[in-house]
Amino acid sequence: MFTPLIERARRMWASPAARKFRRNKLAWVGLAIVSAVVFCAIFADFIAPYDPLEIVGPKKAPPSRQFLLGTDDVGRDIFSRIIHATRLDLGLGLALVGLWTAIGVPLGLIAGYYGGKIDSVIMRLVDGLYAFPYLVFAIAMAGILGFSLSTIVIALGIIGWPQFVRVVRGKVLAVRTEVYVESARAFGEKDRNIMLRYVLPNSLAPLIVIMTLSLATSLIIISALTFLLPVGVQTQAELGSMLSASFGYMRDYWWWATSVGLVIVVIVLGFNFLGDGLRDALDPRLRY
Amino acid sequence: MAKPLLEVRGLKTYFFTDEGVVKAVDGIDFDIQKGEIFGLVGESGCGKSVTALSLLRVVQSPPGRIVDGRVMFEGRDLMKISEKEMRRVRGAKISMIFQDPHSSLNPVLRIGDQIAEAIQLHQRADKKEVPSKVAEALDLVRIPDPEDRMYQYPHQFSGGMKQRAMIAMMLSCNPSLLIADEPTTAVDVTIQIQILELLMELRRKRGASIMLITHNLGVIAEVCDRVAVMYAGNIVEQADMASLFGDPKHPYTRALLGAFPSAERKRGELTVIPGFVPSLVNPPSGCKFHPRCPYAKPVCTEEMPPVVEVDEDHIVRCHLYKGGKG
Repeated sequence: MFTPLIERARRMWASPAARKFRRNKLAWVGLAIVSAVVFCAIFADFIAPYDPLEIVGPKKAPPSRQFLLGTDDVGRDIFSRIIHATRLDLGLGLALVGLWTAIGVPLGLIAGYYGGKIDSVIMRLVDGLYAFPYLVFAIAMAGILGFSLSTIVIALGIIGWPQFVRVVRGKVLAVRTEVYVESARAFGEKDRNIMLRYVLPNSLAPLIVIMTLSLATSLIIISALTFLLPVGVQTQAELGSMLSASFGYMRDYWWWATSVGLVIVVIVLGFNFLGDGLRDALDPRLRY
Repeated sequence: MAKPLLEVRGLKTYFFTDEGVVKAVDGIDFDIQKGEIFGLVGESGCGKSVTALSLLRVVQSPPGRIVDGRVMFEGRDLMKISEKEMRRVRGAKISMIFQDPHSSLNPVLRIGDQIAEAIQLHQRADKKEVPSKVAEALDLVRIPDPEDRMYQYPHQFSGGMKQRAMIAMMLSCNPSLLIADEPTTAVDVTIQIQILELLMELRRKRGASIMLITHNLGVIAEVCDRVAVMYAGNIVEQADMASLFGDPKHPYTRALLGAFPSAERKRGELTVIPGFVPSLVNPPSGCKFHPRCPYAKPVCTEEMPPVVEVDEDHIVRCHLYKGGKG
């Protein structure tokens, strides 16, 4: 009855989009980095040699066989802290992209599908939010709610979804004129069903791309905010706040800040390569 | 004559665009009898498809809007009932198949799921019965191995099979009127005949009426009982099949028949209708056909011709004919 899973995977592997993706070397690099990061995040407890929050050695020790990337200003193992930080940061990033998707996709779907006045209202709101400076808004919001990782994510979640609306709406505008949508209306399908069963599944390609690319953006913004704001450096391992802590010791203990900074850059680059690769494979006409 | 199944009076559908108002359907009247195959012919862009979409009230809006008219169906005016009631008519009572089978099925749903969707929408069917009903529907349109085929996706179907699956889906709820918008245009000739035979058989078995929209006069001659010829948003001539083909009255109908190749007329050239389909934003005054009409008189440029009944059940909109017969 159901096509066996292996058969499905084989067909997916052979599809034109997959073939295009396979030929793209940068996309492979991105996929490799992202897989490595996800692996680290999941198995952080097994990979990290030390507890990220325990003091395990002398303060500010240089890299050695015992402490791969040295220790920080209170004597915690930097390598272990970075491994655990990928878990936390990836989680925060996913939560943020999840918020953007949860707000942006329904609005984009509704704006594109109904058009007219509803569309105008939603899109003016989007334009308005675009005009807000991201970071300033998030800092102000977090200031009101109290500085913590969750308030940062919530603040960014409130401000960052407009581009999801634009991407989804654009695709929906194209899909809703497809004959199968017209046909679904002609056999009496309800609007809600048409949107969820006909329009949305056929609008997924750009959404997947924007979600991947936004994950990179969200990681950057989150670490920028944790770099700037006092959000519990001592109580958790998080890349932005680690960078912030290391910043004052740049001259004498360069490996500390450098290793944390490089990890951020590589992770973000990985998601960007992957997102670009997906975009080129799924929807070559898209540019954003 | 018995009370018709569908009675359309003064239907007007306009599109309000930046360039101006496009009068795609500009006041048309026609009836469809029970169990009849009614043909609607005309060139591309004359308003055939918009007429069909208007009957179901699924014209893309904005920019389109049905501005006037009555469509009586089962004692109700379809233009007046609520959207909710209309949804219960669509698919269940009147359903429509579209021109291009390659794009009229949702690519992410399996064929069977899509037909099941239609069945569950309009019939109170037991969940367990749905698969067998789907297979039955596919079997009716002669899809081989329906039990296996229903679990395939549209891209695994050929064009003709997609069109038949589409017909299966639209017939699954036993509609009393099936609107077929150019059902044979996008499939190749051998499949065309199969599709037409299928439609005729369905009419025979289920007594459904069919409104067949096409620009192909051969298709009309093959299956239709009555025919309306549409030009630039108006019906210019309407008659039963035999008298339309045997004794066409309107110059446009004559020109259209002259432009169509036939097996009997072996020699001689096909005639071309001079000029183009007029712009619907700014249509010609009076009779919209007058710039292309070889018999145009001064009055044609000034006045919209009235509907003249030239024979029993044969009406024409042309100044060449004056009331009464002949």
